[in-house]
Amino acid sequence: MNTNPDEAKLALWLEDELQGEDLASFEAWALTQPEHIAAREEIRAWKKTISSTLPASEEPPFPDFFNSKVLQAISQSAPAAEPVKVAKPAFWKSWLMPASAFAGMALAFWVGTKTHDQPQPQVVHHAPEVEIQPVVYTPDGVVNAVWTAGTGSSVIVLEGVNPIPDSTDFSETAYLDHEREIDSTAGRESVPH
Amino acid sequence: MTHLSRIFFLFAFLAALLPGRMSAQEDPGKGAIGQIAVRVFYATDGDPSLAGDKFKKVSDKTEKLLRSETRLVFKNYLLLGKDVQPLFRSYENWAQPLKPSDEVLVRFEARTLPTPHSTPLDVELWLSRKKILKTDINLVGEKPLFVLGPQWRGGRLIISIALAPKENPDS
Amino acid sequence: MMNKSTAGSSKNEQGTGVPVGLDGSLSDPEDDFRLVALAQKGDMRSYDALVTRHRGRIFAMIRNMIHQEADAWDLSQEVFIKAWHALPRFEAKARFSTWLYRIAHNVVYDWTRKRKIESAGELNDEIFERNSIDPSASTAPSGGEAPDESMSHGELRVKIEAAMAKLSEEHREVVLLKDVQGLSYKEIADVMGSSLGTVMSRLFYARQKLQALLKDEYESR
Repeated sequence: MNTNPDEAKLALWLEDELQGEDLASFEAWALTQPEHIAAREEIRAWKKTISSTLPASEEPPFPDFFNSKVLQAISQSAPAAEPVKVAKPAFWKSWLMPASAFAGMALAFWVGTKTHDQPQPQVVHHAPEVEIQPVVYTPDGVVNAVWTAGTGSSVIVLEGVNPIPDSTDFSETAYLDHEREIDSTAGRESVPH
Repeated sequence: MTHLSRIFFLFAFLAALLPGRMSAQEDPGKGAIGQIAVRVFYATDGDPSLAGDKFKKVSDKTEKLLRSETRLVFKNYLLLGKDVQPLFRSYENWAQPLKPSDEVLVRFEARTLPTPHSTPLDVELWLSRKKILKTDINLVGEKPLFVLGPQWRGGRLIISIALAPKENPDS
Repeated sequence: MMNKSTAGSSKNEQGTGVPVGLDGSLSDPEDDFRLVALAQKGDMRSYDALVTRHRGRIFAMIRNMIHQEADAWDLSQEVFIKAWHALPRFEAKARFSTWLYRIAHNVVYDWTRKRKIESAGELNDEIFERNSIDPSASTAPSGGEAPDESMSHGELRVKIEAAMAKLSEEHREVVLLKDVQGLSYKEIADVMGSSLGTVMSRLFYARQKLQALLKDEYESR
């Protein structure tokens, strides 16, 4: 650092960072320098202004949920080969997985890769054991969201969300124009969706 | 010149070279690792024509999938809109299935690299320009996430989020 | 959805028996080391206590940096998740809070870098402008000021935030770390991965610019 030690000490003194003997020795000299004293007071005043205006600490919204999500993310970020069970184990237990269960999963996976007529990915073989309930969070305290593992998909039901005004019209949806172009150029029945 | 300015003039020579920024380089995070298809269905037990006369019934396959879910059983389903957007390796992206309307927006981002058997995503659903739902989901194959959403014209909107087939994302 | 019943957690004792200040004040850095040591052995309750103790400062710091409350929430979580994974490498040579600020620095930098990508989709760019999102659509209850606080205080905050927004990220960060969070020069140098001289000069230029931007407001107080 190409800083003169005295200038560095001055900078520290201006910020009230000097302590002990350094402070004592430097202060004796600095107090004879009105400019330095004034500068230190200006800095103190500025700090007082900004620190009383911008918070140094502010609880995040939904603090309990904040912690829950952090801890859940940690528990789920255990080595990828180890699934997290839907039941809620102690966090440290969720990191462990019996070797036999892992071997069983590996075998199921290998068997799955050997079959070729499955319409679904092979993960279906062990989906019930490894499906993880997602974290569902509704920022608006009025809306409630309930997740359920459906038969062919996942479903989240929102309750309490404001209805869309009936006056809202979606007839100009661009997707429709695209579909009409397909219909008109292909000259065939509408593409199933 | 204020006291402050005069004092800090002394430190002009302290100005050191700022740490150099990362040199410009190709960002692998911008690579697409998949595609996400977001659809909006209109589901109603009443008259489906209330949605408008331009919308088509959903396919048999889609109808069967919707009816298999207890909470999503309605008499009629129409497809209101669809959007397919790339899933980036390290960046978020948005889908706007009812474009030009921004009544329904979906923001999504890959949490980790997908495997052949799962695509972990962070997803946000925005309705009427408000963030309504945030969730982390794991998309597997063609299994969508359905969200039973707001009421509209006597029915409800169902938002579907799924992996788009690579071969024909518009299917 | 997992949810812990730690009502009033910022006031009451955690299971570890350590009182936590409401404002997240770091009354005992040594106690942080004790909790860290327990957490390093896998004690999640101790880590939970650390999160509770430090989340206020991290959230405030990030929010002051990026002015996006929802993203600040997400990024704050990311800080603690990353901190957990990096915990084995934490050595009690510096305060735990300083170490967290370092992680926050990296997280915010990565986030800022990401935001600059141009979407490959066909979305109207206005959608990405948060200002166009319904201002009442705060993604969480606003922690804002009490209704009876003077308007001038609110106005000052707006002016300071507007002035801060005009600074570069590095300049904004150094002012926040020094003048709001109260870190020392050396701690800031550790957080930002810069030399002491660089920090000093950044702070100098940042304050100078802020002083010019706030000249009218500052001299009237």
